[in-house]
Amino acid sequence: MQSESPKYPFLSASKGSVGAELKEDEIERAAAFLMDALRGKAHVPSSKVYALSRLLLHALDDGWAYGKFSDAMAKTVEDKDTEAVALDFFPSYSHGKIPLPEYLKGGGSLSGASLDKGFVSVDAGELRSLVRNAVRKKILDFRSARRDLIPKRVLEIAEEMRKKLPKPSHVTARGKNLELPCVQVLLKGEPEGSRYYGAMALAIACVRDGVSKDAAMEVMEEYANRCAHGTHPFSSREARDVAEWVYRHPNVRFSCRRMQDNNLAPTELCDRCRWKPR
Amino acid sequence: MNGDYVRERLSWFYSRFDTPPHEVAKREFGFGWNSKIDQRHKSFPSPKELREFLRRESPLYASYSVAYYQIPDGRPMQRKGFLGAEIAFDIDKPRIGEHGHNGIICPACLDAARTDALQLLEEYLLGDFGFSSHEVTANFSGSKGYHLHVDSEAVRQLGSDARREIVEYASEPRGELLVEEEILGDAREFYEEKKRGASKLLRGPDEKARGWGKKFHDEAVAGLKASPLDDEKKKLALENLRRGNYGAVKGTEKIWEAALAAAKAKHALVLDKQVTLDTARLIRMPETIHGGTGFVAKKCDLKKFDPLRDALAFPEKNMVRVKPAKNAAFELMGKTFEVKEGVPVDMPEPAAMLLLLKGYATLA
Repeated sequence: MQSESPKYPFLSASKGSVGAELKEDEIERAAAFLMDALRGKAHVPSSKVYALSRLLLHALDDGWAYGKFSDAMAKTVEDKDTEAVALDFFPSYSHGKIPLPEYLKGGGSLSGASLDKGFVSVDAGELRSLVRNAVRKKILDFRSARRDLIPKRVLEIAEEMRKKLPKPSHVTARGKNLELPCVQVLLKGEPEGSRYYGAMALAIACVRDGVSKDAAMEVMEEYANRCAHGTHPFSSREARDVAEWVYRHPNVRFSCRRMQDNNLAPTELCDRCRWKPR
Repeated sequence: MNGDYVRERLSWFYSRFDTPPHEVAKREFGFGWNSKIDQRHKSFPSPKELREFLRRESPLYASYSVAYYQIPDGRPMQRKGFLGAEIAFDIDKPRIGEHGHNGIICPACLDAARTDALQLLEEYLLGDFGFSSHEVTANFSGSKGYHLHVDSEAVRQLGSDARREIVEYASEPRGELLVEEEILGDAREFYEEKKRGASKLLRGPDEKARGWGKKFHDEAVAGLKASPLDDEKKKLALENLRRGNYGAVKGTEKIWEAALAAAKAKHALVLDKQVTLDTARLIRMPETIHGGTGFVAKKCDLKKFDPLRDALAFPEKNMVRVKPAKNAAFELMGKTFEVKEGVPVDMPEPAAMLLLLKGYATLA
């Protein structure tokens, strides 16, 4: 992998940037590429198209679209390039071994991992899936970046694209707890610091409303996608684990006080709640 | 009266406090007078101000962030400017069977917790995870268990998912250790095995396996050697185990089930996972007092630490008269104490403080 023009635009040596002046045709090319990727058609874009399409993706601010795009890009890594791409994500990779912190930072799982004295041994197949996962993670990590610097024209095109996006799943579960004003706000996602308690409250609302566990998992998944990424993303797995716990303890009650203690229920919301907690 | 006495003694203790956590200025602190944390988002520019606060305010509980921040007292959390976080482990539910449990202070539980913490340190932190001993510190929690902290540049940037991987790895074998392999192509290997009596092609960790694979493989070999199988079958099964073939001999499934159970019993630790994966967590500050016991959350060498002797905050020679609110018996400092409800008694200060803080007595 030569450093001047890497084949894959997501590698750290890639020089792709949006540039000071945005050309309409470039944005349109990037928008077309992004739509293709969201429909599962993967190919390697130029670094410029890639940079612009990520900006559009960021402007869309849609968890589902982020997931689809990252999957599509991960699939573009050819088998013959796996080792070279691996070195970009796992710089200390050598002779089939990766130091544990690098392995975990790249999104590696310790489930069934061959771990010894701080090194994880990987075979060719494991390295391939690890590299793809690392590409996904790198793209998804960008979700926490600032949005206020996105150029106006990019935001406009993103809004046009939004109407054509394939429909993601949406929360359909209903119930007296799920319809509480504070829970309705939760469903839009929470910032870092209140994501965990938010997930707990949401799962309790689901269990109290008699929502099936499968349906609750969809609610939790969507919640995790909508949560702000902050310093670390709140993964759907974390959200599902919370629901698993709550469904094992179905007698846990929804607590207005807990909601208030964790800044999840501002007074103005409680004022218009039919429960009117004191 | 109890409150004034306790506060005055905590102030005395903290006037000698000289072991602040490193990088004080980048930590968030939390303190509790009625509960474990009544006030958080506190910060101190240097150890001197922290010590002065502890001496002046005498909190029952003092906690600090595992994370380092640019603005530790910033609110909300996003304003703090996350710089990285240690990885912390909490062991307070030791693996211990039926025993004569003491609700005031249980030496058996404390010793089992110490043993588990030592296993976490040696087998996982220094072993499988490969951290250096200078990156790891251990301290008594001040109550029922132990905290271990790992701090290095490499771990500070690990996110919650990575931390979850680490804590779950030490808690249970994840993924399938034995897999019934799909028969592909002409499945020659399977039929060769079948001729020798194999029931199915069952793949698992081989003799070169690492991590949980090795833990399971070692138990499988031990279980097989101790099994009542005849010698020829044992030899055949052992040869196949080396290659990771667990289906070579009929009737071995029960041995593998027992091996998996034994591997879990021996190696799976009970950890409070939330403590490890939450980077915004506040955890007891080492070398401060636990307000539920009066013991110090002492940094320790897990091989030889005895909290009932080594974690005392107050001098043994100070005698304090207390009036027990109920009957109680417990061991501390190598002595057995037995008190009767309503009968005032003079006790060494560490024992008196334990009863006072646990609500078993009042000052007489």
